[in-house]
Amino acid sequence: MTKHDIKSTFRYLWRNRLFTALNIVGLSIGISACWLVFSIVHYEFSFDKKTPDLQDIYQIVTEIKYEGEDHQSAGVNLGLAPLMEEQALDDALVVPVYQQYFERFIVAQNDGEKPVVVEEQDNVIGIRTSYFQLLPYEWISGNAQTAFQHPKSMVLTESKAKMLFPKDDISSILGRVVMADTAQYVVSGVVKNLSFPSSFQAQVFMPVRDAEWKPEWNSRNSAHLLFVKTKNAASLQFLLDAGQKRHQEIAGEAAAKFGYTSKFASMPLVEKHFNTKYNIDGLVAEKKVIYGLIAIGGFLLTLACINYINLSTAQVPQRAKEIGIRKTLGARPLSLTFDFLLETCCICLLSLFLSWPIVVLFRNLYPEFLPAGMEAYSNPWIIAAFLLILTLVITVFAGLYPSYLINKLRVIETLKGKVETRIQGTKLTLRKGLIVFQFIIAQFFIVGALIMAYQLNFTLTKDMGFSHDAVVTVRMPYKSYQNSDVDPALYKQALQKYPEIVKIAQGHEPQNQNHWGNIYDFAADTGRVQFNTPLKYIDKDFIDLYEIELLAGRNLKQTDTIHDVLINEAGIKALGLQSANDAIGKYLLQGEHKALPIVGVFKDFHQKSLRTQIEPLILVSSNNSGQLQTFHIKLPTDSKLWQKTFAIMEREWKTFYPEAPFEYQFADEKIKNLYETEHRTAKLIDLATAVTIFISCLGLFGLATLTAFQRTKEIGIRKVLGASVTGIVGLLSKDFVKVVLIAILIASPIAWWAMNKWLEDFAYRIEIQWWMFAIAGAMAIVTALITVSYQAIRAAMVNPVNSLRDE
Amino acid sequence: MIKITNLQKFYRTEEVETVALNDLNIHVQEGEFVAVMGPSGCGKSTLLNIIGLLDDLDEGSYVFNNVEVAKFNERKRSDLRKHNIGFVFQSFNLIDELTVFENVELPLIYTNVPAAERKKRVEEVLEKVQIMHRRNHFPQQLSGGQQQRVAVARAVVNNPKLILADEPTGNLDSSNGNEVMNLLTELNEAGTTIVMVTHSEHDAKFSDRVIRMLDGQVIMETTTV
Repeated sequence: MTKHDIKSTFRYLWRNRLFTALNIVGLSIGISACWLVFSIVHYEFSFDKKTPDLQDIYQIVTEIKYEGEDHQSAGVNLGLAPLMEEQALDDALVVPVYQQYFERFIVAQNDGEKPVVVEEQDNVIGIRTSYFQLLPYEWISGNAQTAFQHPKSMVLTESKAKMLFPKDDISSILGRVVMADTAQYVVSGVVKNLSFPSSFQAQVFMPVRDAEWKPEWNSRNSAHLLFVKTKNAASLQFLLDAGQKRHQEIAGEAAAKFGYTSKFASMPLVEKHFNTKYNIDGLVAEKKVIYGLIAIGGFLLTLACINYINLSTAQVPQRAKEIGIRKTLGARPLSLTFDFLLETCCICLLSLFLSWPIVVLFRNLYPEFLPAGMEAYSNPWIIAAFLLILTLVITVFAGLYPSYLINKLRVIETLKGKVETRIQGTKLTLRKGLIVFQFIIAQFFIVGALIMAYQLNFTLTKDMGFSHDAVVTVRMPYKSYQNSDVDPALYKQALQKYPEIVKIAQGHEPQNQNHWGNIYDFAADTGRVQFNTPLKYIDKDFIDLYEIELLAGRNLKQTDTIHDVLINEAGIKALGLQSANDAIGKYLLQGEHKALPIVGVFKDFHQKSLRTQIEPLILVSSNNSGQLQTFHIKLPTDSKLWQKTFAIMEREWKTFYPEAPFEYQFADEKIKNLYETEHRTAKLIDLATAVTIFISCLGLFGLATLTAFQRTKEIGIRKVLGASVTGIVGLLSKDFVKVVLIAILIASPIAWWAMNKWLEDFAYRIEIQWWMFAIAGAMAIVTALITVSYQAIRAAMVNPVNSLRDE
Repeated sequence: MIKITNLQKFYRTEEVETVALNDLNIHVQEGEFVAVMGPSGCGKSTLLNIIGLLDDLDEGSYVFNNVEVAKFNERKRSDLRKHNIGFVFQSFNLIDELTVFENVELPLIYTNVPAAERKKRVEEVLEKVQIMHRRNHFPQQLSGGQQQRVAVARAVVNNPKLILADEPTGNLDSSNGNEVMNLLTELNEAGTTIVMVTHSEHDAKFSDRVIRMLDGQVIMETTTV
């Protein structure tokens, strides 16, 4: 590579700045996509990989069979860990990891300063010292042997220690006290955070409590995880068998009675990060999604390369003279290929520079698409190596075909200016094929984005069966120090005095994905039947506030002793009753002693998202704040009064709940949040649509430029013979419209199929209409026409005297 | 130096076959300055391309420097060309992205001449064609005459045995044209063989011998001196 080559390459790129810029922009999008996807993929696949003896570590899980269906639980019975620890030989390490819950941590400060308060403790676990043998923690102070000598001791990671002791040197906090709710814990050690992505995310470690170290075999909780590390497969099997045997002895009878079987099984830690069956912390990645991302990255890169090929082959005729001269002077095909690859490489490198801000921009605009914690573990060297290889691959992939064309040019003709302009003939050329391919993808995305937008709009505008306009909800305080024991009815009564509060009720949200349910007995004509139904606790003002229609009976009354029940139409059907009136006065029996009277029947409403059919539902009256959960407030119709209303609500709130933050949310907003995944997907698809349209247009622009150049003479002749500018623009554009039409024809059925699949997730959905395809098609054609028109008009405006002059 | 015998060249399209050169015989001695003349379409440019190994022949023999080259492949031709033949075109054919110096340097790069040597030789030849002061300019910043002087410089920088000139003065006014012809004459006097296609009787007078062609055949040869 000589200085000469690089210099002339840059001069060439500068002279053709428009095409250079188009190429750089196109490729930088492809590179950015690959960059992002690689970062994600590399992060996800590096999970747990640096754990010492990774291959020897297993999580013990529970497999349950109930009513013919398989269920999985990541949790195990509390009895399993002590049993395994007792029976394990030296070759097996038993590591219980029990999730702990605390409302908040408080660290007192000297000199009357305000204490440090950290709310919402997650990542706190109860462990035995075996945990520190499993994972390679580096101790800043304290050590694994002495850390848990005292039952109320606590080991912190460096980051957590800094959070709890912001003003202290963290190497000197041993012996300091942390108030965890009402209990005092003493800091007995500080460890460095793990230096690699790990399934073990805990930040605070404390000894397993005595209450969790007992032979309990009848219940199971997904907060109780258990790991075993052993090189010996027989040893692992022995422990599993021992656990199974003990479980059978103690809980076997009860399991048989309720009709389920449960079995302990082992899952290798290697598989944990991609195993969605045992996902409890939301950390697990789906391989399907990862492969989808790789596909999108590959797709965008292919599109960008296609573009580069299109744009650079479009320029071959224009630069034919230069190539001819070089050949005449003795340039070998290899050296021409090299020159062209060098040019491609320069463009790739420039694109790489541009992709850096694009990547940063994407990270800021769409953080929700990147796994949390990715930044912390990103390895710049590996990313740099990847980008370098990517650049070389693109150089070769995108540069080879144009350099093949360059080598094919015949010298004599190029020197005479008689370039073989119709490089591939006039029929469906490779280049047109590539454009069709690009527009198929673009069209697919346009249709997808359009249909998603309609469906998501449908989820917001469909009649849910209850009125949610101008309703806000406020979560009742649930932490002990937030006065959560204060009767919520007091707050309700306080607000009812104000005319600005149109209505106020308490109870579950009318629509959300939470599941509360119970199994009741019902005395039907055919005998006692079991009625397994979801339920919502409400107060007597609830159905009035949400304008839920009563079909029979009366609203519920609120007393401390009787729990009135309202049931929906689907519930009536499930109970096998003929009409709404038949249900009134009947009872749902809970155990032997408790009977709930059905006092009314209400019209079905959507209690869950539109993904699912309306199921049976009962509304049960309650006075208990733990059951009611939420305040519902209907605001005045005039939104100008809302600020004042919120002020009233907050003022009253502070009198009852001074320690709890006042936070309200609109019911509309909550309903929208039910479709968060879909909104996220739609956001990504919108972005993909914009990007593919943009890239496709770059390619089309290149083709239009080439065509205009090729047909200069023809256009000149037509103009001499009397063609108008409009006529010529039409003539030139016609071909491109055809290309786009072919793409639309191919893409539409694919898009129809894919979107139907997507819509199948919704029990209530829009019908795909022909005009959606028409709109999408029109969008593609208009975009194509705008892209092409610049070159077409320019070509049509050329003075024929110039284009017809031939030396 | 050049011995072409019974040369046939056809151009074929799907339906028509056109004879470009028909049973043509030409000899050029080393050190000669030959002008080829004839009306448009008589085949003189085709002949020049074949001599320059830019085009192949359909039948006949072409001996260059005692070597039969008619059946050479592209690679061998390219090798022979870059070491032995310089080209001057009517439309100059300089590369727009390269400066005067770099344009002239190009053939030396393709023959792997070391950089220091290249610099020396390019400067020498630029002095010779009196364009040294424009060495860092780009072609489009020069007049037609200056561009053609650069093209001549580029053609001779490799010290080729043969220079092929295709209407070298065709795009020049008469004074610039004369300058270029004088340059070619000087080169010829220094020993370079020159074959020049021209329409101009005036230019033809600079040559030793004029070959006149019609319909792909040589119809007359005259010695000018």
